[in-house]
Amino acid sequence: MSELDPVIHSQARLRIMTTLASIAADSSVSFPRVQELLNMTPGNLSTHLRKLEDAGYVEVVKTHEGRTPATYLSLTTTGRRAFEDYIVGLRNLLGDHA
Amino acid sequence: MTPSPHTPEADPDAPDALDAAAMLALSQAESARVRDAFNGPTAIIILGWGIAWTVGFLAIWTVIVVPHTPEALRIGAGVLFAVLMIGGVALSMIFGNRADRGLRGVEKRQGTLYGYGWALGSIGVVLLASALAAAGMPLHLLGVFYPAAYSLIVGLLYLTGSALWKDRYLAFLGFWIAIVGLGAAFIPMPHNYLVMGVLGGGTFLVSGLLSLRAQRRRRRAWAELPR
Repeated sequence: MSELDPVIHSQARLRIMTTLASIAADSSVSFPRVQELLNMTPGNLSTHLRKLEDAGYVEVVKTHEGRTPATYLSLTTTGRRAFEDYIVGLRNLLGDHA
Repeated sequence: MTPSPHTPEADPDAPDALDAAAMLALSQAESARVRDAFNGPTAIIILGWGIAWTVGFLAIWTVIVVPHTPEALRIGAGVLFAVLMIGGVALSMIFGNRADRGLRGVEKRQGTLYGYGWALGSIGVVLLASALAAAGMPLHLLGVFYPAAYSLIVGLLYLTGSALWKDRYLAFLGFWIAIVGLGAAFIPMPHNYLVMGVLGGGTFLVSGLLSLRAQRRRRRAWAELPR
């Protein structure tokens, strides 16, 4: 059985991945809304996002809405697959120990 | 707002993973919580319509069936009904807009089009009624037309909502409201208002309360997770 993905295997990053996986594949959510949904500080969220972005799991798009800068987050195809694999990995692990 | 959960502070590499069962529970609870954040306002909208329909239709039915009701009370019931319906629309618009805050892409477009569907349906019913009245339809028949036509619009939009957000209960609600509204049209006035108030408004009321209770239970389950 394969190891659990260490990039996702942390409470904060699992919560971020779960939140983004709950949104349709071709949709994205604004940074402040994700922050509000997860109840995280901006610094904390940014730190974990960087790790997920480095792994190619999360896409961070910086744009402008009028004159206000806005940041939108979404899972990449690789990220969505990694998240699904991680959840399957957890289930397998639980099945093995049942 | 729920109290701030524990998230690793400075070091993203600090190991804080729980055992497999707890991580799976965390993910499932988080997923339910996100769905509630985006779809949750639906419960409040349904509850709002429950109050509006139950109170509004029963008020109108009461002033008609109770003999010798003073004119002022009859007018008052009509005004109350109008205020409740406008309140329902306002509540739906405010909470509907809040629901998809921060979203971009296909989900946002779905939500916006769904909102337009509501506006089109609500205004369309009023325009159609005006056209029928202008074409000579006796005005008292508006009491048959409005509840039935509006229930049909509400029912169809709930079915659409169910298809969009994979909410099976919304489909049940859609079918039920359409059936109640169309059924009520075959019941002589003013008792069609009683049917609308009890079976239509009552269903909304119970559904809204049950949804809110289920959401609260999910929030509590999320808050009690080991971290």
